[in-house]
Amino acid sequence: MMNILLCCSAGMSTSLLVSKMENSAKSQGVDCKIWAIAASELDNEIDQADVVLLGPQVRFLLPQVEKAANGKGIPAALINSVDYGLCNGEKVLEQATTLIKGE
Amino acid sequence: MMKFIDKFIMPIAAKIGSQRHLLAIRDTLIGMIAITIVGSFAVLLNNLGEIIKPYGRMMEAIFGENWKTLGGDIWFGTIAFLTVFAVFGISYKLAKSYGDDGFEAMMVAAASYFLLLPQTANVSLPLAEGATETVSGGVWGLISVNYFNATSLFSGIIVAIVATEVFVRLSKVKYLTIKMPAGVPPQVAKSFARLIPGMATIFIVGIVGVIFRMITDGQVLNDWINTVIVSPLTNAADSLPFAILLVFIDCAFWMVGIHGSNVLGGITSPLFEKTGADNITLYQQGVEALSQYHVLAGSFLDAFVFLGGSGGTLGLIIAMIIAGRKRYKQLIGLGGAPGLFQINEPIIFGLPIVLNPIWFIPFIFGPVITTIISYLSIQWGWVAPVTAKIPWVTPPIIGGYLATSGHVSGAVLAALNLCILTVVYLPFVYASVRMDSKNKNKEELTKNSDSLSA
Repeated sequence: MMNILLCCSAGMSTSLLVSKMENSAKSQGVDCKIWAIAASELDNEIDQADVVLLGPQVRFLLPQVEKAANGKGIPAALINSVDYGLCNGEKVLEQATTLIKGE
Repeated sequence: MMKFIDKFIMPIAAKIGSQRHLLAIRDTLIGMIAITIVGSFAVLLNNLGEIIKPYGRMMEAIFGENWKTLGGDIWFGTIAFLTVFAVFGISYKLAKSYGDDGFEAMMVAAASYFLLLPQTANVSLPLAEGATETVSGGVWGLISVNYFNATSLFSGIIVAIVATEVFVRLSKVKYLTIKMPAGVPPQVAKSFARLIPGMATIFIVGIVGVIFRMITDGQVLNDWINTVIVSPLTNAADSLPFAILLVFIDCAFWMVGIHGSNVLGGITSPLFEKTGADNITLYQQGVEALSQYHVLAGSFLDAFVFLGGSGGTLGLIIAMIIAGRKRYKQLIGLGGAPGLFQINEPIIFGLPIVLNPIWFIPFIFGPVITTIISYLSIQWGWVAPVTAKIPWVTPPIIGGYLATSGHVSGAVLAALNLCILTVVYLPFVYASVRMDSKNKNKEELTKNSDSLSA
């Protein structure tokens, strides 16, 4: 079971990506929980995550998010902006899995 | 180019976009949306009675002559106390950002704000019922609602931040905390630990208030902040050049892939929240003089300028449907539905607009044009001012209608702006489709010649 946390300004546009990622997870038979939140909620939710992915439009928050996540041993990274824009669930899911396995 | 952005623009965005005080202000004001929307909605429901007469008559028939009491009460409990909610919220969020649990900080900041308020209000009443002569004087125990509503929002923010800063700093000083013996329940011990820092903060703010009154011959800090800082600031901010500047910066940030509205939120949200709430209050009180209303207020940008999101990208989607259906089929599918709800990341990152010189001109100048048109048409009285708060995900045109409290002129302006945005984007969509097909032809030609030569 993987817990993938997506994070952007209001959690709205990343939620578009969530459903795409869930679809590709289902078709690959991967068991995971994926959810999207606003950056301001990160502190409350980070404990439940195995990996944090940040939307490219708030990439100025990356140093902050990395600090919060790495302190808890959770990998954090930026979502590729083209994958983000085209809602490429498969690619982003792949990114999340490699990040979790890399730990 | 990317290096330049990472070196110069990112640090600025990071600084403004993650500055803790600005973040606390922004997150609080955004988090207060339930309060502000319900208050605004109540005023809207009341005033629709004037605009749509049959509705007004129906409400009167069902609930009696005083059917507007409920809406008035809800407005009073929400918008009329905006600053109180902001003081609680900002001190809580700010203290949390320091790793404090925020509860005591919230109490201390609220007390600090209240203690600075004048306890006597000047009233003038007619000597007898119907008499023209009045008697006036100060009455203790009455507090003007202007110290609780958006009029005082900025002084509330300042006091909340200062009190929280003092409190959080003092709580970190070891010898100011009272240690309880081991048997005392943790919750009790915790509240004692915070006792001296809390007391000290409130005393310090109180002393500052007293000294301020001595220096200024009885003037209250709140009034001083309002006349010296806030009024000039909001007057300067509610102007066409500032509106254009704001829209320009917002879109320019998006051009390099950064969430402009998010970065600027700490600065723009208190401003818009204040002017928006001022307008709602004026409207609730039935003020008809348009000159008293702010133009750049509340949901102005969401309702009229950023149709489909920053950059007015719903216009781009319509232009794509007109001129590039085949080429942009996937993007129209991905970005169309979110675009109706003002979400445009799929278009911005998928097209992409980010760092793409073709889209630079329409993405920035389209919204600038619609800002000018919207600002002037409201200032000249052609379109009703923004008197209601709408959630930012409200679809365009409906947003214009609701934000102006149900004035058709608001919907017309939004529709006109959408047409303008479409026209602005259209030549660029044409050009990109043409460029694409040219490249494709070239590729095919070279491919063909390759295969021939082979």
